Amino acid sequence: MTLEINPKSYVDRRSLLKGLAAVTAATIALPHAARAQNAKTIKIGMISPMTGPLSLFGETDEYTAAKIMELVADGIEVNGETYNIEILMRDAQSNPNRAAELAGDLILNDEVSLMLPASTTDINNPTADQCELYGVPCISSNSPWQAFVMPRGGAENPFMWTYHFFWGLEDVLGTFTGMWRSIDTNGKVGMLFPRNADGETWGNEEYGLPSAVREAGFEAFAPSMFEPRTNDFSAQISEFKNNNCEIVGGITYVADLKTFITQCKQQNYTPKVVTVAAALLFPSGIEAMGELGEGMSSEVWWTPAFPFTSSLTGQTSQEIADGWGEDTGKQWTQPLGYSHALWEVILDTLKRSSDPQDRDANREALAATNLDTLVGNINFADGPHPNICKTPIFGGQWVEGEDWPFDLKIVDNTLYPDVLEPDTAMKPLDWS
Amino acid sequence: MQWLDAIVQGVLLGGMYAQYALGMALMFGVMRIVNIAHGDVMILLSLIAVSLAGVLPLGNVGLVLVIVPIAVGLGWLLQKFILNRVVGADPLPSLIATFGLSIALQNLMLEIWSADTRSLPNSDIASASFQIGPIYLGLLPVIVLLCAFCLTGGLDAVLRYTRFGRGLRAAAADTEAAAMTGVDPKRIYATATAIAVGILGLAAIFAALRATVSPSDGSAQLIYAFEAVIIGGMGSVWGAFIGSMVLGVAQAVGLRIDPGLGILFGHLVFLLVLATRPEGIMARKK
Repeated sequence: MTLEINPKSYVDRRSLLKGLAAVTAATIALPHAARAQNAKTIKIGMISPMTGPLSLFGETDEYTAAKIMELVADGIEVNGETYNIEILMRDAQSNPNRAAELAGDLILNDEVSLMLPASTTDINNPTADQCELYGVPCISSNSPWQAFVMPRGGAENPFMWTYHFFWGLEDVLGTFTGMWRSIDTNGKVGMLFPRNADGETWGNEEYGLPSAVREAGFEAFAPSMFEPRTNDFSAQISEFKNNNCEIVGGITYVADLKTFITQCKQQNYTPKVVTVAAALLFPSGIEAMGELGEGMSSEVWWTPAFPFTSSLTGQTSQEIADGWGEDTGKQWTQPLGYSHALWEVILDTLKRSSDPQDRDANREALAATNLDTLVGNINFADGPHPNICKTPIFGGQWVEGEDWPFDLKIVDNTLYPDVLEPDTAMKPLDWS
Repeated sequence: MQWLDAIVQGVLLGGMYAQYALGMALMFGVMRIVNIAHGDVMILLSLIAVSLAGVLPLGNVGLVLVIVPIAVGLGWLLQKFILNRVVGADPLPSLIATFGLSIALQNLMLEIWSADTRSLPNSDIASASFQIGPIYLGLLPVIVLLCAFCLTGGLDAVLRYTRFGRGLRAAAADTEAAAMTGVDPKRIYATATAIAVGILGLAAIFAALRATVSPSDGSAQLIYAFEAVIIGGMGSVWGAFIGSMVLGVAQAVGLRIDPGLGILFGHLVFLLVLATRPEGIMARKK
């Protein structure tokens, strides 16, 4: 069992400190006698945004990979033979071009048997494209499935090598409207979309939110997309105000949302509901809003309240979240569950593979996955697309917290009523 | 009325840009040092402010009194130990040095503060506003604009009427001739950068109150500071202030025409100025 972090000559921030510490710890924990002598090694490539603007996603990937390392320290047994696992972890620095470059390197030079681009559209898509090109099985998550399929031309031709599990825009819409219906409003929605890959997908007039929101019976006002890190939202605010929008929805990043909300308050515009994707995923995002953040709502795809358990460790979601809290001293974040589930799928695939060092055999095993993971059942047979499996999504609202400044409470389970009961009812925003 | 509102909001936005641009006017406009790390230094100061606010109950004014001296010290060290070694007739070495500094600072901040977005606790001042007719004016943007105005006036007076200001202008015009007449250019430059970064300290606190900061944000605002200085005219402090207003109003008006066009409008006005009056609006006659 080896974990290799950027073994090339370049030195990034983590390879010096944390990386060395992690590798050292792993070596200490694994006296050589415990390792299967002369055993074959399965190489798994992992590309994650460990630094840069997307590093909040990479944070849980890195943590989980270290946990998995401990778990498979003695190797895994496949068809009666013991294999060592080698995880080649690479930092894409939140840069799609770099992700593509790293993927090519891992495939051609390191000859990995399986690829894991852990999260976000910017990392998943370029990595998956390389895997498709060179024929390497690839499993990813943490971006809506449309963002994985549509831009890569997968609508007509299913992919051969690349698989993905997450929810889709139709689900997030169902969740958003579910929350909005639970509050007494005039049904007018002001929408915010940034001009970037996410905004273009979410705000798309054909398959995005605005048309779907209208079909769901709401009146939608969508000014054209704003440039990320705009310093002035007074134009949008005045349009929402003139149209008397009592709901604000869409997708934004934290910096833009904070600017927007501060200006709403200044301009005396007080919508009853603010539901946005992305910005409100992470506790640090909601904390940046300060008092104005209380009552804001977002989509929820994993919380410690999820009823599923890990197929690897038997831990419940709550136990995984508690472990994270103890080890890092930070509040749990949603990608934690998915970081773990990805490894459940990978190890399950390898165990079922007829030859875990062979890419073709691994692809067949991956495609045939039927596994109950921490985020629900993963099975590509009955998804909306041959390479996709959908996982549950709920609506959540941030309320004043007990151990942390804010807690995320489930307020809507319209789409998956069997999985989880809402914690509380949704409340309108308090602007006073 | 919508357009009046756009212009008013644009002027307030310009106040924020002016705070970024003043330090730049001094370093880039007067000393001709292209400081690529300008934005990153500001983010560093914002993050220090956010961390300090978490441990010390200072209040916003107290925070300013702590951060600005830190910023002044930082600026002095920056010039003394880095920029003074590379500054000269050739602008390239300082550009490369600050480019490297920018990358180093970003990664240092990532290591210390991680990629979390942070901001100062939302005090009432950030969201308060008052109403004049149908137009709402945010209290914080008005304070930012007033601070920028006073800083501009003060800085302009310092450059015009003090011994230090004369020395700085002399050193910038001809370093060797200035040195022969008894000016110590390196010391003068260190003081000037200390002032420039000190102003950035104030801007940093306003930025953390108004929006959020994270380690990779620095370069996004850098471009506006450059544009404001060039629109206004190199070497003119009031020019940088006016340039910021032009940029702010252009963006706000563009945003009203189409929310996707605001930033583009700012850049177009910048290009227009470059094409028609490349020496800038307020440039002194040669």
